[in-house]
Amino acid sequence: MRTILIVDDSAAVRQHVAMVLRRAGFQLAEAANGQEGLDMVDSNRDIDLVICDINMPKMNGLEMVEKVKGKPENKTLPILMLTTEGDISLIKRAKLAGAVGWIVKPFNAARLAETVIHLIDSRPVTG
Amino acid sequence: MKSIFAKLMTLQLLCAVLATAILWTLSERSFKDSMSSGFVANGQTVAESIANSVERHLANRDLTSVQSALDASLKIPDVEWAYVTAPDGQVLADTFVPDFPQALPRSDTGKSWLAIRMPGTNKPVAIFTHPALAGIAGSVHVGFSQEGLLASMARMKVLLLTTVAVVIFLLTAIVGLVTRRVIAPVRALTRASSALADDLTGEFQALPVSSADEIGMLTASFNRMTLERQGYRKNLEARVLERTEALRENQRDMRMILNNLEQGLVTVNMDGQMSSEASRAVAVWFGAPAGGQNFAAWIGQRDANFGDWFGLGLETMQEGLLPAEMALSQLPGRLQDGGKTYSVHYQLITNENNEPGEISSGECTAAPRVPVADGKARPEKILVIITDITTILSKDAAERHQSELLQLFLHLTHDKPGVLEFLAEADEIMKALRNGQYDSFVHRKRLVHTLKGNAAIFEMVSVSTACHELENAMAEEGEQGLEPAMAALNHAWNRIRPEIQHLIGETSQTSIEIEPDDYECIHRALRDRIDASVVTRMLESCRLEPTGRRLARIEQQIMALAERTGKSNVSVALEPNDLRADRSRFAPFWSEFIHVLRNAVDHGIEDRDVRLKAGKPERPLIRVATAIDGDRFVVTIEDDGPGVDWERLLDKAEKSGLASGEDGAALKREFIPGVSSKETVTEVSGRGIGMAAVADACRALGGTMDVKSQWGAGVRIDFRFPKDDAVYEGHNVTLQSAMIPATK
Repeated sequence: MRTILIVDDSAAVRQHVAMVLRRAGFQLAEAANGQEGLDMVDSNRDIDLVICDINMPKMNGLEMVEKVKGKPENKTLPILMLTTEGDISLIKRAKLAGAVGWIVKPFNAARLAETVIHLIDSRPVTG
Repeated sequence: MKSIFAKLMTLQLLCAVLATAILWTLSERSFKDSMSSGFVANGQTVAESIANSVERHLANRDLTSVQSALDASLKIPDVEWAYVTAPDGQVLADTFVPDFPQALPRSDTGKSWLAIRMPGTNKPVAIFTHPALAGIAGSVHVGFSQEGLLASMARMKVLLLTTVAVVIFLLTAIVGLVTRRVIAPVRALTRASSALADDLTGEFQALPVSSADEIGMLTASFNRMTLERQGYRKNLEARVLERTEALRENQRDMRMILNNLEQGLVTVNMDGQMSSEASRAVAVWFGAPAGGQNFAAWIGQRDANFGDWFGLGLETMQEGLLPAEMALSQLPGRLQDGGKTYSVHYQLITNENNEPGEISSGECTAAPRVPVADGKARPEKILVIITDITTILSKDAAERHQSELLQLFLHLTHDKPGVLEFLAEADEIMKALRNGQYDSFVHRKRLVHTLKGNAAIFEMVSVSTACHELENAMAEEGEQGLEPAMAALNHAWNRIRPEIQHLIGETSQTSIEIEPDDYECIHRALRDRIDASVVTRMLESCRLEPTGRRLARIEQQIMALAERTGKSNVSVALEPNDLRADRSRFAPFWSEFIHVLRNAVDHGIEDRDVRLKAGKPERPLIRVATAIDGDRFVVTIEDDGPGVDWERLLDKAEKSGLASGEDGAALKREFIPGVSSKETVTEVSGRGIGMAAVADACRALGGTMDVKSQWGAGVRIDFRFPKDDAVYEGHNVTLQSAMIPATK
């Protein structure tokens, strides 16, 4: 089963995303901040996609993306940022760091699932 | 151009000249020969006859007779002179005057004649020589003038040449005429094809076919081809005209639509360049669009933020990593420019849906679709649809504002103290939020949550919505970046607060209302001379709020909440038990009590089918009571819903790292901030903040909270407060406590 890691300090947001994606047939892993998220990516090679908030305690989303993408084995791991339509510079930075795109909160559940499926299906196969 | 005719005529002329030259040469030679032979024969005859006539005289040495004979010979036409020589060449007689020219060439006797030029005069003369008596007596020499001969020969030549030339040129003319006639159809063909080449649209008349030869066949073929082509052309022209007219008509219609459309329409290709074709509204709002310019940059001059988001969104679309629809949905939806607000929608134009529609002529068939390698529609352009919603927004805002004021007015008429209490508390919360007067982020969240709940109860939608947005921002952004949401809440509050003040008036909070029953009771106590301390207690109780009124307000709140969550068939049972409680002291508790109500409505009411299956009455019941239990003032709320799923709550608390997992702490967990038993966050409840807030408020008044729940059998919560002067048990109890009967 495909595994999605959702990194967000808001339990409510994590729950909502998890519920949507479980219904779409995914297995969910959750982390409450960037450091936890980074640790989970490092320790769990089965993660197929990461959904990541930007503003989080301990380690924010941008830093996490930079660190995750800094490792060659994560080059093809798709990371989607979760954000509000607030600060465009943060999203630009995230994209520069290697995030594939962003989802604006509040988001449409069906569209989120569709996007995740699309990204996982179109992920390049790595040796 | 050298025509065939000219070429043929030139050739003909050359042939004529050549023929003339040959004829001339041949005829001149034969003429010359025949004339020369006649001349020579004549000359020889004359010389012979003179020789014959002088033979005898020479033999007789009669030179005088010889001279006479010679002189007589001068009468013969063309004879210029004559002389006679002796065999030794001596001139015996001559007709020269005065002397024999010594320079005169002598004729050779071997030849019968000799042509010379006379010395001095240079006249052409032919000398004929004839021997007399076989040369024994001498020879006779006669000079004949050749001038006549040459002149007649020249005349003959001219005549001959003229004749030959005339004949040849007549022939040439005839040949020319014939040629002209023969090649006339070719010329006609040439002219027609040249005219056709010069003006392809010109009208073509079939050429006459005058013969059955190759030219005739060529002309007939040409006629057929050209007429057929002309037919095609006319047909094509007609179709082109028809199509052009249809297109023009379409274009006119389209322009008319674009000019009269209230929305701004413009297309942007996948490279971000916009087309110059746009609806008039676009030009009116933002200036004429320049075709080929980058849309994000162009519109960014009006709203930089919008331009940035559009650019980023388009970049994402170009990368093609996200599904096109998803990327499209993330393009910015609001555009601000010059105090106006526009909503912006997008539609993806793919290679499958951008083909022109059928033109009304009916003959037009759609062009074959561009085959796509993977069979998926390929995005080609984005249709940007811009709508000016400034008026709608301000109208909506004004309507919402009016509606809010109306609702508040209705609340004021029903429950003025409730509204005043809400306002007082809301003022405090707003002050705290503005000035940062909160202990922690959790406290700040609670304040917002409380204000949201209370504002919703009084249907102050603008404020409750702003609170909800602020809560969202707090959940997502943390403590930073909340300024826009806080500013929006401030704006909403500042807008409505002065107007409410206007509605209630400034002095409203200073009066005390006494119900007729209270008045009657106190009046009777005074009349019956009841102990003054008891009457004072009764009078003081008027400052306290009857819990019946509070519970009535709570019922309204429950009904409003139930209506908003679509559970409007709920029954509410109120048991105030004629108690009164200090309004200001219990205000913080009642303020947070709204969370309990929200939980009861949102969690404590199952679906109808679930209730019926569980053997419960169809109508859910929520009971709210105030009572005295010994030395405790108890506020109870009870529902007959599904109860609390402790397992799930525990699970969540543990997952969130908020609970240690001790069994006995289960009740506490319900009230740990950040854990809620709901899977989804709704507008009403689910953030896990409310219950902790109400527990805190209860504790602050020295109270305790007791939650009893069994999965499937509903929830009962008792709030127990110390019974002191802030609680009044009613006039009957007061009078009884004074050992004096209340009634006679």
